[in-house]
Amino acid sequence: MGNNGKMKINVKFLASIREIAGAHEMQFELNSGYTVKDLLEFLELRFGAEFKEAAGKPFEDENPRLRFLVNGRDIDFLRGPGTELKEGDLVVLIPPVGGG
Amino acid sequence: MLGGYAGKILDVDLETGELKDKMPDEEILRRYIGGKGLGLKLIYDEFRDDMQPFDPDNLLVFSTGPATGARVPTSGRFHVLTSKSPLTGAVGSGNSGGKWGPYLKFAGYDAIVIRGISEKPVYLTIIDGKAELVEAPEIWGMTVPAVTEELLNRAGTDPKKTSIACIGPAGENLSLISCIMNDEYRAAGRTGSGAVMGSKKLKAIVVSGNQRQKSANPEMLAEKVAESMSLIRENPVTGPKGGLHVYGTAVLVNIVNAHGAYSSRNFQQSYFPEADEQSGEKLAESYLTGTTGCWGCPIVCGRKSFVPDGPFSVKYTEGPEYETIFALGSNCGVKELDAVIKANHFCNEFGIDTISMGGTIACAMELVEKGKIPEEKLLGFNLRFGDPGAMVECVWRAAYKAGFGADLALGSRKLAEKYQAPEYAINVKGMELPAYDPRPIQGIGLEYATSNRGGDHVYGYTIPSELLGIPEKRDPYSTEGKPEWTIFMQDLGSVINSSVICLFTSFALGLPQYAGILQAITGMELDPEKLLKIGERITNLERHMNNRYGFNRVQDALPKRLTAEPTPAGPSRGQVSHVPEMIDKYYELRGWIDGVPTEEKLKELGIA
Repeated sequence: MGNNGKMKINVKFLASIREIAGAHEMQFELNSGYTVKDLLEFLELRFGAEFKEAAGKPFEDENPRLRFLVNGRDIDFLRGPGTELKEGDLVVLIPPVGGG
Repeated sequence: MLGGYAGKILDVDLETGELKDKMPDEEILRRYIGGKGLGLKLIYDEFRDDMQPFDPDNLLVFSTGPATGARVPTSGRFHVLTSKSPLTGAVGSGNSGGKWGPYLKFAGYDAIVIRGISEKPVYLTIIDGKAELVEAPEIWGMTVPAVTEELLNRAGTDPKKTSIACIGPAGENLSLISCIMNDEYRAAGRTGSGAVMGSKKLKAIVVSGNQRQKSANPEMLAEKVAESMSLIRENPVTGPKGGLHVYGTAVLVNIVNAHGAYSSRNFQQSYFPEADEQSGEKLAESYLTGTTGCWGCPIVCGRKSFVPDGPFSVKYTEGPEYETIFALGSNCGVKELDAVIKANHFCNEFGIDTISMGGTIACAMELVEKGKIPEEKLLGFNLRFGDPGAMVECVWRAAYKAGFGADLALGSRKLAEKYQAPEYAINVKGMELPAYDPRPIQGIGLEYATSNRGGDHVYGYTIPSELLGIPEKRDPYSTEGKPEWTIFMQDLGSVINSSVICLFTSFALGLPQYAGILQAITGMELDPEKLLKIGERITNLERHMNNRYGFNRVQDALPKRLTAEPTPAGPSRGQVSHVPEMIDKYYELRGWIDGVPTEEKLKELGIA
């Protein structure tokens, strides 16, 4: 837990979502107890309509346009959108991509 | 006669110079489709248990499938097989794109079977049904782009409708990690087939022609192609604005690293802190000049690139792919993308498999780090992790066996054995591992261990599900259901590589689409179940031949590092591969005992 009920979270943006965020990695000071769902709302406010459009509704869409890793783990294998974040966590946002 | 096939196989005897046309047996096509499956069957028909890689009767087979050249999306591919790989000692196998596959069919042939050893260097031309062997000692020694240009000029055909597959100096010099290149930048990369072609003194194969094959049911095919095209275009990975087109395969660098599965320093680490400096995003930002696609491909994942200045300057080139960036970059501790682009360019020029090259350099770097290679053996060569210049230097040294390069040309297993430290060769069955650390991804570890051609990721590509959530998410840390998933992907891979179409279609398409397309082209009655059974037959035939070479459970294993040394740092810290706990289940589901298909299984599949 950080000071005064706040915590610092690092967020990495990959591929097309990076172009919208305008940065590879950013640090945000958020209220303690924020979940991944809260973080998404925060980012939608921070980056506006273009981000919102690109993200879609990643926790509801059948084919989500964004995946979230918290410290290297897909949130579906943690506690989903309700996964609580803590000081120093690294969250990675990944649009649909593939390769070989 | 089945639709979609040219109906002829060219049999080339390099010792006598004799060229013969053979008819493919329809029953064989029904059972093995084409491409990898057909090639394996052609090899099996002349199989010898005591075959050696440079024996004259080690067959070199180029094989297309019914979809090749059939106006089906991504149908620009072909398969290469050798009876015995000089790198692994198993059946050799590789797959490539570009336009060579379609133009072999337009020249009038489904496949080429090459036997014997020519006395002098030769090349083969097949133009509109007419095949000819040409003695050409003057082209021996040429690099891949040089010989491609020379033979395009000599052919005198429309260069747009002409394609060249060839070896570079690495294949001529019998480097065990050499490959067969086509269309300058495409490679049937793995298992050292370039050295087999080199041992036969066959420098190149020129193909050109206008013969188009008829499909059995053109209306059905048009409908199936339209359906597949829509699925590919609407898919967020394969569509026009999708990740593959916009960033190329290199988009995976950051993603795999974020999972803590981007190996570094010869798999001593599974995370590379500087990964972003060699990512697809960085490639797009600093080195990209355009995109390029294989014949008939709507995805267009290829990169055109350059390095404008500095010691690694290249005016124009193609790539690098994700695997190459890992192998020559992070696995060697090298973060500089310009050096990787240069080394990739050299690998293409000299005809070297980039994955095996990177794995071998990384192995050598660790052998030096651990003091296993005496200074005097290096002849002044300063080989250290993280040194971009040393990494690039290794490539031309390996191609020409110059100084320490003669050791690098052996591949990692024989290199490490030479210095009595086999534990530092990160390979399976002698083939260097690809770009997914198997410790935090359980399915891909099982694929590496059990793949018939050795350390391979694409013959049973479990990654889309384990890391990318396609078609559905499977927890990469979990072993649950992984034997089933690995088997499914391996048999699906056999189908795709026998059709022959691109694996990347599997991001958007599934067995129902493949069955529909193949039925429309060939006229065979197919459904997903029948098609998967064919895939199983192909996987088992390859396994059966390897068994006869002496392979069994012993070789279906990862290097000890990956099962015994937990990932030391990064997001996946503390993980090991659980292959030893999954392998019995895998065998049971396969109907194998200790890595060997039972008599019943072979009978069921009609192999023995």
